[in-house]
Amino acid sequence: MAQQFLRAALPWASSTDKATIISLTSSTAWGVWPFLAAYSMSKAASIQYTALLAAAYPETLVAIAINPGINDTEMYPAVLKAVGFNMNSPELTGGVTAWLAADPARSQFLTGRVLTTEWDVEELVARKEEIVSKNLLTMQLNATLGSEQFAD
Amino acid sequence: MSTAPATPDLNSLPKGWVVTSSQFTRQVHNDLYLVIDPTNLENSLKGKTVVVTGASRGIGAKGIAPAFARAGAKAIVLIATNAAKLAAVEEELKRINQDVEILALGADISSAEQVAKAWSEINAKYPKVHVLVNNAGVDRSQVDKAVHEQDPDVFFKNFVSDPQHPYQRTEDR
Repeated sequence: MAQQFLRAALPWASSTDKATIISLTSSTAWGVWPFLAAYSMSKAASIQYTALLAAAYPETLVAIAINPGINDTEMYPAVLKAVGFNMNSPELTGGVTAWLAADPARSQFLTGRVLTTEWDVEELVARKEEIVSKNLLTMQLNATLGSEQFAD
Repeated sequence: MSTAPATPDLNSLPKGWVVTSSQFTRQVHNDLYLVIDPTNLENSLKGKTVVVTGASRGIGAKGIAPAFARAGAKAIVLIATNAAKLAAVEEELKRINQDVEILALGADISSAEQVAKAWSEINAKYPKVHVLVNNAGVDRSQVDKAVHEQDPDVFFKNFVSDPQHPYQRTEDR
């Protein structure tokens, strides 16, 4: 899907007129949930795919992954529904999607990243510099890496 | 040394735990608010064409496609495995915005062939598609089975939705 979209978009997309890909993911991607093993892995893959799309087309594409939280849809697992967690309205995710898609220049700082639709978008904008400079809202290996740390 | 994170007992958690445990902003929302309201002119999609997969039900049908209609998109392309299920969504979108153009296409996004065919139809009508929403997804979790008990074929069926796995069956989110 993304590939066909890009093939059509790359001829016209430019740094001032970017194409946008928004992919739905889940917070299970960064949790560790054995009973949702394959589902959560597929959602983690979606986040990483978003990051690599953003890196592959930095001048022409805004790629963002969004977690809609819990919604009362047919795919919400009965075992979780039984717990009675609070739910979001589908309009919340619809609104955030439209907000992200309406102005690629406004969303640019979120390209390659993942956000939860519950998060306040004005606060995200206010934290733009911190998010970009610290490369927040991305999946990383949680470790200190590099040979420098072993230098005498 | 810490061990792998334990799975919390879901029933012992506060009802807002899913939100609060992943909270990144001071304020959080569970419904539409002014800044993201699609009718807010700052969120206008006037002149833009968008494609939404998994558009026949769930968040795609109830949240994303209607938001694009409210935001004044020029055209919304609805994709679902079962095109017949898109008629009601199309009707609702036209009710929201009588000017929005709708192209409803049946395509199984796990089939590269069907996806290519859908895009040739899309591009014949709309050479410039500004936005793709990869909303289609499935959950085939085997919640009643431990990992070592799970059926591997069902396990891999979870990987249908994501854009890097365009080769397996999908249903709508």
